Amino acid sequence: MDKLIVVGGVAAGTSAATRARRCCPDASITVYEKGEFVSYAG
Amino acid sequence: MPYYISGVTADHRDLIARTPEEFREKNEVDVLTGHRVIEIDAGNRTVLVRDLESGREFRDEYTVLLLSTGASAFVPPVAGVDLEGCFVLRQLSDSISIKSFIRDRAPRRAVIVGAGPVGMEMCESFRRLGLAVTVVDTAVAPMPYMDPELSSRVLEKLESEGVECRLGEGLEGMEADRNGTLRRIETTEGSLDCDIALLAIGIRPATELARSAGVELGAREAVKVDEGMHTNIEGVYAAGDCAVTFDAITGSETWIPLGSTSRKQARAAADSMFGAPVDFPGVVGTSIVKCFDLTVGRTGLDEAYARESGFEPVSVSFEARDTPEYYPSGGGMALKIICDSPSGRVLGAQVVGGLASGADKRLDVFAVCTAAGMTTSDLEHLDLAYAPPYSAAVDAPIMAGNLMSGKLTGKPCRCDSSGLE
Repeated sequence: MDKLIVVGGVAAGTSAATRARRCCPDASITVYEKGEFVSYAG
Repeated sequence: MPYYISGVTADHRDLIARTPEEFREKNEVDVLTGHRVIEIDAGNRTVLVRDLESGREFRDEYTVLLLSTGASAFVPPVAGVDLEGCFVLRQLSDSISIKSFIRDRAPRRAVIVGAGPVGMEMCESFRRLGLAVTVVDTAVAPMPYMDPELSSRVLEKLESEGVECRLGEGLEGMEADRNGTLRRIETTEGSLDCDIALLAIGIRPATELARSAGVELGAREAVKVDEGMHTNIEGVYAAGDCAVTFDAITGSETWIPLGSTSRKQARAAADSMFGAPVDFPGVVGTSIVKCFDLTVGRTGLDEAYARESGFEPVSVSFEARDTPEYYPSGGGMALKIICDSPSGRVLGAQVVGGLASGADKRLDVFAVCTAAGMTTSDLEHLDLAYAPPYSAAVDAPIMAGNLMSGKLTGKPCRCDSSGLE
């Protein structure tokens, strides 16, 4: 099974993770973000 | 974030598109905040992760890895940048810290170091909160990536809004009072009392992790990727502000970190990993910023870079109204267009206009024309939406084509927006 790890979850990381889910319904996808927040606008 | 600081956006949570819980629920994606990847073992396809709260470290295996580590604010190596009261604005947590500091300490005098887009947005935010604002930059004009005939309008706006501009001055250091709180900054030309300072000098790609894993770096030390967002290491991709991109006009590798590009690169990376790969074609470098009630934007190449890239740039600068003379205007605009000679290819444009003038709309027209490789003749014949509340009969991009064609053919045109010579 595919396992995607994403390093950093502000903009590109979370966009890629959700797109990857769309492309690959079976993959395991984990986003690691060092900060307190993810997926926010600058 | 500048709009959260000024109060236009009420709550920092409004800036968050989706929370970790929502990612789990809607996308079946596990998002772990407060977790830092500290090492990549590309040979064994594992990462070492540290839970920053507990200090616990663990390994996790991947088949595919995406580096989207972003960029960090550049902090110059001068004394006092770590003082209380001195901030950068890069992460959401930075904006929360700035807002808390303003609420708790009620600073009266702000210094912004850096007259780029973040500096411009924060001039407005601080003024809106009633602070006296001084902006300091080594450049001789604000918005250094705009050409002088346009950046001079930004300078006029800043001054009319009560922002003191100390241009051609560099930051030398920061000094504290007896309590260890920022009180003064030193520049190459003198000193300046202040209660809060923002370093908005620029950003650098955050690529320490990538570098230590043997990932190749490219332009401006950003992670080198191809059109499919692959790095030099099998199974490792990169996207967003940490990665290079391509200048779609010259084809050269470049680093232009923008939130809009990040999303496109992210999509291209995911499609490369799991879907039908689509090459990311690069960018023409379109950007826009609001400076008080001015819209300031550019797309494509400026004259100097066009020349460096082997073009023969010719430019035309002009002013235009957004609507016909007989219809109320949302504000005028100043434009500059740059084309190659003699081919007439549109290489870029810059605009400064009133917030309600639709200067942003014209900028986007130029962005599309530039990306599509269109010529001045194409501009002259653009079929743009026209009715008096929206535009003139000869709208600014078409007028730009008329004026540029006249210049390139040596038959100067004095046409106006009503279509009369």
